[in-house]
Amino acid sequence: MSPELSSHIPFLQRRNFLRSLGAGFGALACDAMARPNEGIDPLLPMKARSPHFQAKAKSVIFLFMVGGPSQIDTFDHKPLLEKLDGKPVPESFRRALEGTKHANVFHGCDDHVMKSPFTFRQYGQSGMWVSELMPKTAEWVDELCFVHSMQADSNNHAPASYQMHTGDIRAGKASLGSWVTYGLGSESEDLPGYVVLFDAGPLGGAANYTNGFLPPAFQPTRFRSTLPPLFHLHPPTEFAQGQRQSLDLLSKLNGLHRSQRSLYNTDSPRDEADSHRAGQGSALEARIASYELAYRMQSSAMKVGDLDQEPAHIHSLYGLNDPESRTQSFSRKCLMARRLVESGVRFVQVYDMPDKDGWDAHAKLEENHRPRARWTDQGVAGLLHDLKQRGLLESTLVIWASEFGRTPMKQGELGRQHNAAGFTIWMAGGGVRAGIRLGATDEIGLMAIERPIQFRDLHATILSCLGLDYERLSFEVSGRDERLTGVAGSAKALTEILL
Amino acid sequence: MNLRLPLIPHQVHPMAIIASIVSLVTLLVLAAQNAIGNDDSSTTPPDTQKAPKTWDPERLELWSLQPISPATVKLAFSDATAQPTRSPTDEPIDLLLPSSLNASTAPISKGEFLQRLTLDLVGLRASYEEIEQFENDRSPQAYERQVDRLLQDPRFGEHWARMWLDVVRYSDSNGFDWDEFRKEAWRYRDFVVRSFNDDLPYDSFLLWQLAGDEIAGEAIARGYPKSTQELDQVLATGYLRLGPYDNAAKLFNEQDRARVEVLTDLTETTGAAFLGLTLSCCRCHDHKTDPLSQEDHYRFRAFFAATNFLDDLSIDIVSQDARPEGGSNNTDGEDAARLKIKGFVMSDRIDQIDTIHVLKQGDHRAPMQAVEPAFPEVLGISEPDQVPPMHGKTTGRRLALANWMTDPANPWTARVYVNRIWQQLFGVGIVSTPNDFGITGSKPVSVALLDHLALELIEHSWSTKWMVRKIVMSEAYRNQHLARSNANIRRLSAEQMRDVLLQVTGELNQRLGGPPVWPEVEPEVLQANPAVLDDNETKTKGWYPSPSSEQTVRSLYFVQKRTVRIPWMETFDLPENTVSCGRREGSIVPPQALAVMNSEWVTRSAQGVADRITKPKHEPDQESIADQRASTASEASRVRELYRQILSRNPTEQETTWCIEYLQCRSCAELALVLLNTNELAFIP
Repeated sequence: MSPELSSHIPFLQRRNFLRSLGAGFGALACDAMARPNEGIDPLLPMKARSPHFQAKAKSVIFLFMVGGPSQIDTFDHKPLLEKLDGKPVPESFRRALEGTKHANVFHGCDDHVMKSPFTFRQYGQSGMWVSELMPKTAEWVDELCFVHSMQADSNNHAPASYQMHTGDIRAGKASLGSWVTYGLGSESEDLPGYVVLFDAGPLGGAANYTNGFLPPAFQPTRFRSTLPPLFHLHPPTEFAQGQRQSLDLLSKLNGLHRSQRSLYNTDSPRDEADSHRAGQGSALEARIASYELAYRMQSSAMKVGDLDQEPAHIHSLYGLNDPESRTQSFSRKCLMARRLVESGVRFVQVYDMPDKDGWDAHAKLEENHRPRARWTDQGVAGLLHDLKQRGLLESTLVIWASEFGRTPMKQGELGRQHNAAGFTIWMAGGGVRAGIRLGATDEIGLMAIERPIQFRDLHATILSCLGLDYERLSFEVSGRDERLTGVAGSAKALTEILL
Repeated sequence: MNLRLPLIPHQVHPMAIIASIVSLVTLLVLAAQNAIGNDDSSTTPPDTQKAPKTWDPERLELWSLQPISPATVKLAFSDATAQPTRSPTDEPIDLLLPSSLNASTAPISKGEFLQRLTLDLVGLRASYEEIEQFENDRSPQAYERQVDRLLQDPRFGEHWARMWLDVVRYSDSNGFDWDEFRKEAWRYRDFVVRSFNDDLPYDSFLLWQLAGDEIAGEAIARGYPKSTQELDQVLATGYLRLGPYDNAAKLFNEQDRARVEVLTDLTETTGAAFLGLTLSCCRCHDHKTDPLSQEDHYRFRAFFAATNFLDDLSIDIVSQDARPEGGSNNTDGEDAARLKIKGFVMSDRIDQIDTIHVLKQGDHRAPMQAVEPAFPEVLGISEPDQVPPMHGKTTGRRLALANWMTDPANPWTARVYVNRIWQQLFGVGIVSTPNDFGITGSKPVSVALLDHLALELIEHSWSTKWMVRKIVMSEAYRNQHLARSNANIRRLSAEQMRDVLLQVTGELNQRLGGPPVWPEVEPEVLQANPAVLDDNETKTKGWYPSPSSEQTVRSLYFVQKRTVRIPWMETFDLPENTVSCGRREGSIVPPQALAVMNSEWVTRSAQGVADRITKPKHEPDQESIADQRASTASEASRVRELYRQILSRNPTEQETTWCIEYLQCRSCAELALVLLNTNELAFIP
């Protein structure tokens, strides 16, 4: 035992002991959230909190393209590939990569370069090159900020995907959406603060969008883009009609139960320990309140989830009437994301993956990428357009990204291997500069050579847009101040692209 | 006497201090050595290449590094309190009671108390009849009898196993891309349940998990165990392969990373689970606050250097003493009665011992100096007693580690475990950070109390049941005002919540043990993990719902995948099952209310319990809610029946009035649902 304690316990003041207890013995369900230094109200953990500094973005829509769309077939134009098509990878590129931790990108593919089957052209004032895969998104390039030099620490889906979402290639850490709501709460009182929209999700599953070690109040809520939007939103019909009466009775019974447990005078606690204890008692009150909130959520979720409330021109803007059901499906999620953000939801995570393969084109790149681009292009463009016309783009950070890109080398039958050494993402709105590009890959799009950027830097940038100091936003786990950007403190926000 | 132990210099292992009779002179000499400034020249063994790390005194003062000492209990308390007759377990209760506790407030009732005890010991509720019987039992041993009854209940093991499974991040799957189902992992889970029920001493429990294969190497070599104990020793090693494993890594030439991750996970989990050590904090550099160096991390890791998945190895899981006499003893594997299983053994490959290097910044691509297995240097002993077992199948490394951990002089093992027991019974431990006994962790509310319990545990053969019994029999646990206080209100965990709802509606399937049950899950939840759509011939990737009759087993038996979480359970704050969870954290959020008010299975259960009450003598028929409402049977008696069934008590007059009023326009099933939603059911009294 510590000398301090062993020598002083006989003389310890009762009060001191009680105070130390306040953080120990008496703690319960809500205590995990009651970290006063974070200013989190244990009863209303999702209550909106001020950012560390003036924020540009209030909310985030993260469009995650599952499986690794190819950068050199979408936004990273490499004319040299035409010339090298079918030829071995020039020695200089190979050597440069083999000297890095990304050498394994060569593993499993041919040595031969495969040109892009898609044609590129320039768009907008900024003259950005975009392939024929994304003609509608291309119309918005002047609003986009491209980062061409992303790198991941694993060339496999789940680890890279975990890193994209949580900063760590191992599962178990907290996701971006949990961090953001932990830092800021949510503007919406009767909707969840962190929403995930799926058809199918990323490889590696739930560990991608989990709250991890953060308090469970910051876990994601699964939303549907069809009604009813939440699980268990309504009772079966025979229980539905009397729900209000049932809640009234429940409230009376719970009130009686609570009143029998008022051991402490909550109005005038005698010392700190008492007030802490009084706070604990409110676990019962919190649960009573949660039923009223749930009742309200039933109607607010139905309201926000009802896409039919949108006029026809909005439906067609997003592509809700497209003949292809997969386009409709993704478009509905994009529209839902806008409606959620408009209602004050802090973080909306959207997954595109309409089937088990996603963009993972190990073979037949063209047959994989063409339909996927078609299914997502209009939803993405519609979302940008709609946010812009409503004045929401300024306060909403939109991110389009995946866990990695693909190799310029051919794999199997006209496919491409994963590429964690250099790939492209883009952001728009919410505090990032529009119509610019940052970083570059080499001439064949194999490896980031100019301003290589790690996920932690991207995370630092996202948090900065939201007014959060990425070094300060931390949570103590087993003796360590965990941060989204890592414990080493080596992350740097991409200040060149911040407004 | 206000005796302060001197700081323990790194050259002297505190175990040595306890193990031998240490004279004050010795202590003073040691203290003097320390004061002179760690002049190592005379004490460092000549063959040590590098001088041991010196830590500043503040780090060495860390309470959990000091020997577990009975003297401190007396020092701390016997002088300080006016009631020397009370046992040390009872002392802190004075300190725990808040100054403004209003003793005139009604204390917790006898019935509520049994409810609390039942939930704490078996994780389920006491029935109306059990409470009635307890209330009528006026004998002084009434409470004790209940404690003993519950400790003998096989559901005790199920409930306490859940605690341990959290700590060892139990899962039935690999995690990562494919998250393949581990068909045999449940045998480890059943071993844990059995261990709690049979009260396997904690030192054996630990030893078997870390090195059961080293003890029972003959059984592995033989292909079958000779006794149920030998079988359990083999099954216990399931611990070693519970961690996530990226088995797709080799496709991308990242198998080295996957291997290092397995070892990292084993090192960190073992440190946290058994020792309260945050070894994860010294993987990339020396620990920022505790006296643990980066080398300590890798030396600890080296105990696992030969440990590998032995997927080709199969073992007969019917032990010899469980076999019928004669006939089935042949070992050629052709006996139909024998059950060979594969793919769960983790043991050593003695021909393939990894050289463990310190990794720069924890990066496996940046190895530095190689290290050998050793215990944290701050304890002063660096040479583990590493003797390869006779059977020659293993290195003896993990056995040495486990023996060191279960040595009564180890300052962490017993403390960490009694703290988990205390936490399970009070909601929060004596140390509120159960996986972190370091400087950044919480200080114990009372070191004396913790040490007292730790020594008692060791003295009583590391018996979990003995310790649980001691605590629930103590004044601290039984204090009525304290139990009644708001401070002790705890919401049920996800598993308890579901189990209790099934139990009180009479739906719970009380099956014990066996392969996991796969619940029905909304298709979109499965789609959200593409791996599940990639079903394969060996049936390890898909989702395979069990028959509906099995769907109502205790939540412990639900399949625990890493990438698919069961939404109803997830709402109630399931922890992440890829890393050790020392303590459940809870939230109270509206989706939980929706889950109990609206979900199909809860409403169906409410209907079921109402049907049994309103039509006890008939087969359930198609009688509508309207008919029920019109029924003229005594509403008061129905209300009473529902209260007894669901809340295990009679309603008060006030409650009866409200409920009868409600029944004027609503059904019995709806009333049942209201009761299922009450705080009374959701919190431990």
